[in-house]
Amino acid sequence: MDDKFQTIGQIIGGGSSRILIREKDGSKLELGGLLVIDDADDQTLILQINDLEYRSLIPQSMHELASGMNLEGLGTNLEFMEPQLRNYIVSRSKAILHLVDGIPRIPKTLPTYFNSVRHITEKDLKFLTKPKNPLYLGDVRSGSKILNLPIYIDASEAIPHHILIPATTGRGKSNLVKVMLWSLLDLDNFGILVLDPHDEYYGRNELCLKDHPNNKNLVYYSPDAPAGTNTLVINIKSILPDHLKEIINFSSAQNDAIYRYYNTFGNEWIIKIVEGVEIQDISFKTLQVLKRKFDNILGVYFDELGQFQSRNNIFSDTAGKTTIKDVINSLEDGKIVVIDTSRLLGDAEMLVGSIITETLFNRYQRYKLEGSLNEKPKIGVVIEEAPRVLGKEVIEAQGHNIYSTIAREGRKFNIGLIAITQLVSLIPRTILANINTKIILGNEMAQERAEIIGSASQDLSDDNRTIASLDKGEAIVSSIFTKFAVPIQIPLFEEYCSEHIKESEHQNSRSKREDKNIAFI
Amino acid sequence: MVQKLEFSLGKQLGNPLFNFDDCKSYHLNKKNFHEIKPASPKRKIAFVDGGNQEIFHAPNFSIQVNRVYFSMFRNNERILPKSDIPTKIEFISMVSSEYDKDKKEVFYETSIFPSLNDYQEYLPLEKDLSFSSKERAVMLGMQRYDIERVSSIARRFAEWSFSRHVIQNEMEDDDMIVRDGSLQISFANEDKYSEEAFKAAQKENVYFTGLSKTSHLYTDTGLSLIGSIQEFAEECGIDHDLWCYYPIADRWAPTHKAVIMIAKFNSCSDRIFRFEILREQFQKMDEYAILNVLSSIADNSKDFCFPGYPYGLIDADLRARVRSEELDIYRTLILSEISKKPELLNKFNFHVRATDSHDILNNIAGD
Ligand SMILES: Nc1ncnc2c1ncn2[C@@H]1O[C@H](COP(=O)(O)OP(=O)(O)OP(=O)(O)O)[C@@H](O)[C@H]1O
Ligand SMILES: [Mg+2]
Repeated sequence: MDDKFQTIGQIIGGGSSRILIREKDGSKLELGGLLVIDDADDQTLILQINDLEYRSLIPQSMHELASGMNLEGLGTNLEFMEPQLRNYIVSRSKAILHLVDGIPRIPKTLPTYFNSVRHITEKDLKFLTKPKNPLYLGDVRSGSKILNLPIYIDASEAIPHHILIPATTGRGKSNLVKVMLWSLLDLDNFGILVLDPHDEYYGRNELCLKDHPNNKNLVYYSPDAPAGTNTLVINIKSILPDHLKEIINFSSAQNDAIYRYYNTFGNEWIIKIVEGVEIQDISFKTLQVLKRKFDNILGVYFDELGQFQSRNNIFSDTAGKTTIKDVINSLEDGKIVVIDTSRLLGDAEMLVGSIITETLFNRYQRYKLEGSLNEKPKIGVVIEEAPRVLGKEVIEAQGHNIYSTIAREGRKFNIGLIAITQLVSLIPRTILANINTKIILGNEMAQERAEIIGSASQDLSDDNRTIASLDKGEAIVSSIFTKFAVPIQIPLFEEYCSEHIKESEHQNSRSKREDKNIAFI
Repeated sequence: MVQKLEFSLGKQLGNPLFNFDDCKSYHLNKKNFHEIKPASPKRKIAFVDGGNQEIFHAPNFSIQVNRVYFSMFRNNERILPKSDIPTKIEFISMVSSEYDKDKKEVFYETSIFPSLNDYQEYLPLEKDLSFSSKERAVMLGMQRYDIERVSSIARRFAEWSFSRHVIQNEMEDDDMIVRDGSLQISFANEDKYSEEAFKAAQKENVYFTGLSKTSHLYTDTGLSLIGSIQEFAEECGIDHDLWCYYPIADRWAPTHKAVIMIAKFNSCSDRIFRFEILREQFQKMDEYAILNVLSSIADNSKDFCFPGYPYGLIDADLRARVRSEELDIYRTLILSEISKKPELLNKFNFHVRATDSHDILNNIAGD
């Protein structure tokens, strides 16, 4: 028999929430591993291991004595006979899927007592098919074994319903986003805005999105733009008081002042403040504070010669008038727009994002009213450190911003977030509940795990240990669009994309050869 | 009380005592200690044990669940049967007694019901399980056949009969079989089954042996034989890691065709046990062969849980034992059959008691 179908354990008890399986000696069951029970005809149960423990038919005191004798060099004449029979491992598993004729159901019955258990194979999961707009996440994983079975979610459903990527640092969040964006570059009908504070997605000096065979779908903005890409310059006049207010905490005096300047000078309001132009009723002190704030946040000031200056060259009083519009047009064309915000301070980065998303959101609201929304590409906004805009404290202090608005209402307008965070606990439950796909990577913080589990689309209450033990690139996809919380292995991006490039070159040369053949005939 | 103890235990060790005319016992002698040298013989060893528990009980009858089990080891690895013999057989037995006023004797009758038809061939015949209290060989140490003693008859006979099949189907030249307990028989007709087993062993040249956890042997000063020999070993300064002591007695009884020895099978254990080899085989063996058989047992007696006692017998005891949890299942099964006949059920309810679980617990604790 195929080695894959070998019995690796047997049901020895438990109940619907925890099925106990005795491990066949040497089977090396793993936490998070997927097991299969072939029950009566065409009924298959898929289980996942939540916990493993030692059990023995020999009393514990006997083990302790034996180990003492071993350690102290006594009792060399003694051993445990048939140790594989008397000492063993029992796994606590949960039934996650019940397949009837290959069709997945929620498990409601227990498998036959004493039934034997085997490893999962690709065939068992053949109901996991490739959706129409495949967004690749990784391959199905059983414990640490990787199955030859790619997992896709349908981008057109998953993106407007938002995606959350929670993990502690270094567990592979950025890597996952690269893999996802790579896969999205193959799809034409998705506009993705990527605010990239680490300038890590375009691939200025290394293999990354720019090397995608379909890189015509990629648009890159950077203050230091390589040839053929776009310089990130934003006209200071495109910033409205509302944009700033969402991001920055102003006192009420400052708030008043801002609107007075805006009403007085229109879109030159920031320039006038930074220049120090005084207006009636606004105290000099408030003006000075605002000047300093704009310098701190946007890096804009007036020099001794009375010239407007931008410390990061991103905000200009003359150039960049079309930048926001261009970005939005690209998104509306179904492109991935990566904005290198590495030179911007956090608030300025969010501000740039807000201006774009807010404008876009307004446009999509209008499309909906006009009834043309469905002709437009669906939009995703990738934000790192999401609590900066989705955090409880931020929302409480400054009210809802465009990101939290998208989280709550974006779905209606086909705009979704792809939010990355190390700290889920900072995001309010109401927002988490609106995020319908979570790609959970490793997390060693118990409180964070509790929060992730509490907001997942499937019951992951038994997966605490499993989540804690996820290695780099290992993840669990919990989504209203998957039949169960699917454990996956995300490929290392560099390997995945080189593979993909090779494949597509191979295909190109083959189709060229085929062309030739045709020409020959 | 301490004084009393001192007196009782301070007696001379004495000599082995056998209350039989046909028995000659030897004086304790240092020369009778023999060293068992580790030899790790490659022979196959079969271990056989049986268990029975009462499920229903009335003054004149008893219903029992019986199980007989065997396992085999070679080099301390379990080996599975090569033939299709089951490793365990289970059956229900029903013993009933009837007093014949005229003859002034009690008749005992036993019926057996295997839980699988396939087990039938390994079981004794019902006719051999019926006898009267006056019949020949009202056996040793048993002045009367009370129903409780008699109720183990079917299991005992089945052990012999199953042993014979094990030998015939599974064992080869120079292998050995170890029974839990002694090779002594105590019921009428039991010899028929023991003899068949012995004959089969001799034919296949398989050593037929028995090992007893407890021994009811004493010395003529009233001390336990095993304790005395242990003490004697110390007195004599026996410093072998493993040893055995024989001869102890010469006895030619038709009910006990074995040579008794006392042996220590593991250096890490203080426990010594009574070990027996079928006499007819023993007589043909030289000292080397005898010690080689003993070293086979010693080799299997290294388990941490019960050092000095063969693991095979621990295993057999565990598997043969009928557990109190099982009894309810059998009770229910039987009652549901009986209840199909309301009149019978009524009568049954009047006269029969399910053996109280307290009884069972006591039995276990008393083990
Ligand atoms: N799928 C994977 N397979 C193998 N190794 C991986 C995988 N994903 C990430 N790694 C390794 O882990 C390292 C960190 O990954 P990555 O930068 O994606 O983590 P991160 O979660 O984004 O960290 P940070 O919190 O610092 O942003 C990578 O350099 C890579 O070597
Ligand atoms: Mg990262």
